[in-house]
Amino acid sequence: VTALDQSSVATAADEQPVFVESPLGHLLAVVTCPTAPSTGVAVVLLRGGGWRPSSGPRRTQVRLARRLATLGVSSVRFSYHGVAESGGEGDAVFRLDQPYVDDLGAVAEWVTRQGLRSILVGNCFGARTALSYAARSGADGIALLVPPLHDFEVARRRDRRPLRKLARRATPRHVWAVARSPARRRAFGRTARALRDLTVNSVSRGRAAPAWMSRHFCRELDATLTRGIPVLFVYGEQDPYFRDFESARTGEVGDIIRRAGSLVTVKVVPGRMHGLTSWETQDATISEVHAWVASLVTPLRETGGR
Amino acid sequence: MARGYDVTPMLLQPSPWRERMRRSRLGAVGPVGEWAEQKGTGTSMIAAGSPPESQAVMVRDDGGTEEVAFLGDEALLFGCLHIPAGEVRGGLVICSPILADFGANYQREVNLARHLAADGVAVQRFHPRGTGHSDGDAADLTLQSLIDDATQAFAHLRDRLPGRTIAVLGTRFSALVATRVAGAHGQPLVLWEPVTDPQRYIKEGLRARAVNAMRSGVQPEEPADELARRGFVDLLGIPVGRELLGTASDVGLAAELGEQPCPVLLVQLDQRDELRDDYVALREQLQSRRCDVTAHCFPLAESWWFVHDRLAPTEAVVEATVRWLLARL
Repeated sequence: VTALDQSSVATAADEQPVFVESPLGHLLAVVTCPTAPSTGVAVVLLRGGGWRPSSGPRRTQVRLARRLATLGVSSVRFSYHGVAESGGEGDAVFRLDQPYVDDLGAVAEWVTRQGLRSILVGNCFGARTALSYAARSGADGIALLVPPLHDFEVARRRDRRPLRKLARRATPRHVWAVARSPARRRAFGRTARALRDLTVNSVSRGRAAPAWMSRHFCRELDATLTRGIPVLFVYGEQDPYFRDFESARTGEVGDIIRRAGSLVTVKVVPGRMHGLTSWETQDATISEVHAWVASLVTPLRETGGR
Repeated sequence: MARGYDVTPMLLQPSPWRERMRRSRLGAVGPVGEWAEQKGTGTSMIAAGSPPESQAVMVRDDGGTEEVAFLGDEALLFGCLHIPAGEVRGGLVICSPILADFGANYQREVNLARHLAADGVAVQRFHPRGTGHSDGDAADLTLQSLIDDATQAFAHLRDRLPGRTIAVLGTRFSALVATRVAGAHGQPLVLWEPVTDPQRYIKEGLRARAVNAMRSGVQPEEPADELARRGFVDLLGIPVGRELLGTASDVGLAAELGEQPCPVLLVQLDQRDELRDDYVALREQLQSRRCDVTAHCFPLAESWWFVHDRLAPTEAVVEATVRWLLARL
């Protein structure tokens, strides 16, 4: 951001909290107004799973929203139901195969009611939520920041956690503890389903994707790109999820991306993006997203938002 | 399910007031009548010359409300005020911890506020400048800025609850802040896993940063070199400025309390189930200042620096705190 741009970066004075009604509770969103003439676009920021507020990991959503304002873009960052200031009951576990599409749907609808078009920017679980929503309902663009390509962690790590290790844990004491706890019974159910899916995928003939690859992800990415929606992928070069992405690109995901041509942009930033525990990685990520959103909205700006 | 509504329609175009605020911060203050000239243009419902009351309100099942708003005039603080449905017996200001602890403790604070509001206690939560949704840069955060922000939040709640007792809660580093604010007014004080030695806390953070760097196969830069190079140290993705890094060891909890004795709840969230030595010493110091100290231990397995957000233990901590506060408000 240049010195000139810095002077127009938004602050809290350009922001307003709002509760958005959703089927699962009222969601607290913070809306950043543009500091330049509006392009008629709002970026909806989705954070990863967890119980932090929508300022996002290390305030990256706040910094991104306030910089995007210089492009004439509004931003909406919100907390999922049951998280932080939002109402409703949260889940004990955030599941990648069950993204919070209803929450995003409510926010996207609210954005539409303001007369704005939506670009979705999601991080990790938020990326999967954005992709799932875009595949069903559309958007003007989606940025997927370090999206996991698996549905179950146990499935992705299967190669590092052989079954005999799981079997060793099946002591009478452990089994009794699982049987007594509803939460642990549910977790066991998830693990069992993941292993079953993994087994089915492993023996399927002709699959050109790793066994842990999420079928939801492939299907939704394909549907999103078929709709003509531009997609940005951003990974950190040290992210394990980036290695998964590279591996998946040799198969079905690669085919989908190749078919989409210029609709897909892939950017790799230094460091590990998941958790954003480095300032350089945060800066690089914000710059990539800012530049990509600028490339989408600049034509709108030049035509006065028409 | 809670019912909610936003009391102020959204203004998604740059508003005259926002423009004025922004220019004011940049040193280009417009004429006094500038905003008044905008009224009647159909762009706003706000009275001439006054900033919009930009808050959102959620009404909960029990009739209590949660008001979310940016507080202050210049550098704005994100705040959430939990208001009980019926008679209000007192208040609590929650000083959130900083750095990695901010997210780790967040949901526990929200749960505490909602429990207390259901029991007739108004609770003011806020994000200090440089954290969360508030204004400011993280690198500019200092002990004094934290105290100033907590004082502002305390005053905000006191204006809403004149004449009522208002307790203060602080977690980890912000325990120093809560102690100063509660001590200044002789109010009940709750300390969750308080930092008793700021320098030790910073050193623990730098150790966590070194471990994180080693896990990534990177040699971390010496903090002094990094500080000289860019004016802050990157502590697990959060910039920490020179002043906060240098917060002196002689800043002590008991000393921050001042002369007025107040009741204190000391909560230890640590691996062990008995009060550790520095908290035993703290309890003695507080008791020597005629403070009535209650201590609770809640075993916690993880390190504060590496768990990004944590729900457990929540219920036991919240219950113990609610019980203690209700007896004193």
